[in-house]
Amino acid sequence: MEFTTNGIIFLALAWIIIISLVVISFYKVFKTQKKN
Amino acid sequence: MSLNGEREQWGTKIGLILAVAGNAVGLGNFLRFPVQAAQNGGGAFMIPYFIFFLLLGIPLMWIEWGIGRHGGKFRHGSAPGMFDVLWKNKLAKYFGALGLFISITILIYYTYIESWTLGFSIFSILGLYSNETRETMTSFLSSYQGITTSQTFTSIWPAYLLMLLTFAINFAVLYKGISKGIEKLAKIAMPLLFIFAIILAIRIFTLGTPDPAFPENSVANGFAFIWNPDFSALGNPNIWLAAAGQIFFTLSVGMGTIHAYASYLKPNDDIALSGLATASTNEFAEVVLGASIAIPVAVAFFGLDATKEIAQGGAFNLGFVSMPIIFGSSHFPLGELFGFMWFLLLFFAGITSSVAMGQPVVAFLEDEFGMSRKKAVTALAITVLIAVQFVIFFLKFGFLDEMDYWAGTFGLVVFALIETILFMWVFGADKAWKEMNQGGDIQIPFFFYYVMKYITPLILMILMGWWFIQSAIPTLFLQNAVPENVPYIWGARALMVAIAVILMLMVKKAWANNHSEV
Repeated sequence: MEFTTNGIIFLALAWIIIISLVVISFYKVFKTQKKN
Repeated sequence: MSLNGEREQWGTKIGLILAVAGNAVGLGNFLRFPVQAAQNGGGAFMIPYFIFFLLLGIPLMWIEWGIGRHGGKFRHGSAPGMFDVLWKNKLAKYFGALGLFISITILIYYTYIESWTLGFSIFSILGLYSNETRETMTSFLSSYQGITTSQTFTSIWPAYLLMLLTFAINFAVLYKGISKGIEKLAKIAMPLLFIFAIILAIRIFTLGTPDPAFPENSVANGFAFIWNPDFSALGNPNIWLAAAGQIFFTLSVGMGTIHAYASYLKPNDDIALSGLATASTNEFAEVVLGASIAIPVAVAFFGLDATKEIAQGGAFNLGFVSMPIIFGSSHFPLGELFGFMWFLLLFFAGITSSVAMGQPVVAFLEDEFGMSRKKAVTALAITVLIAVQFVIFFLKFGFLDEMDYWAGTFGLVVFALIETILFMWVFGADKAWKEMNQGGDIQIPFFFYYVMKYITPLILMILMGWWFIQSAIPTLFLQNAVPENVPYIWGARALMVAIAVILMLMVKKAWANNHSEV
């Protein structure tokens, strides 16, 4: 079984969505925590 | 007495987020998810998975945070009191008792499983397993569990002592309280868990082809096994239900634990951003890290066909049999150290979840009976230690599996459906929406108002109906039970009924006492 282009695209998309969610939400958490 | 004194509070927002994320990140992130993805269409599984993350996971997170913080305003840290303020009906508090039942029942057996991870981390560093085969490692595990005997374990006592140690750590954390115990644990355990998981994932990425004699057994092929999409699978409704089930389990919703944690927030503390941050953290642990460790390395060491067989054998087979074989292999340099990290990260994932399961009952005893935290934790510890004896000594007779099905699988979806209907329909969608957005550092997109009111309960009803037909009826009527196990399965049911009845009576007594005081 070889890693297909579709497989790589799915992995990359899933990782990008999740890492973006983590970065954005924690950025906001730290930003608001500093304000308070 | 807690009835009149100050309620505890979280020390920092990040501490609370890590504690709730710790509750969500459990053994399932590293063992259940990769197996589910590989079995249900690979990359294509991620399409329904993300859809249900949006329509089921995140909405339920916000609903539970909302119910919890609302209950906390009325000094209720557990579901009976929270439901009572949502629905002015005598029955509400008894529906809430289900939240106590689920969390304490799961706590009983989950902490025992958690103790295996602590044990295996010690065995890894001591090099108690090396150059094992599937037969010898299966024997190692079953002798540790006291089911059989082997050269390494001739009795159950090592497992028993490690269980006592794990319980002692859990109750010591609960004893210390919200900020000094649970929050402090999360601040230490969660970063370590992520560091260990990242180190392991990097090590596995760089393994390539461990045995050049078998070039097809490679890490890249392991990733291909999980991620190559099989679009034809999307036409199968079972794949969609598997994705909804995975999202449901991974976020640890439907247990009453998130409510308990959120009840220690102030009325204007944010829950919208915190809920999103905890759900995202859980997904990072699951999709990015969980999918990059066990299955890819299993394909690299055992090949595709054997890995499929291992995946069919379930999460325990993958975690406690296959992974030690890999770490004990001569093709995995420093396997003792990486094995230690693997099992310790599972232990951290477990303990941050198990302390969360203890908190609802502790909060119930404190808030509704006015007990001190120390007395409440002691009462919980004694109860759980008595009940776990049955799980330990009747493990091979399916005692744990029966409890896991009714409390840890079917019960969760029932409780989640009840809380969603109570919050969004009985309490009222407009009031619920206002509650969830109050003090928010972000505004929840209005699209979720309709999702929470209509789509989330609909998905939960479909899930509950499907599981009822597919597994609850056969399980209830013992259709697949081994005849020898039947008396023990009834024993497990009797124990669960006893727990449920005692909790109901305690709820009744608490309300009778509190009303007579007012």
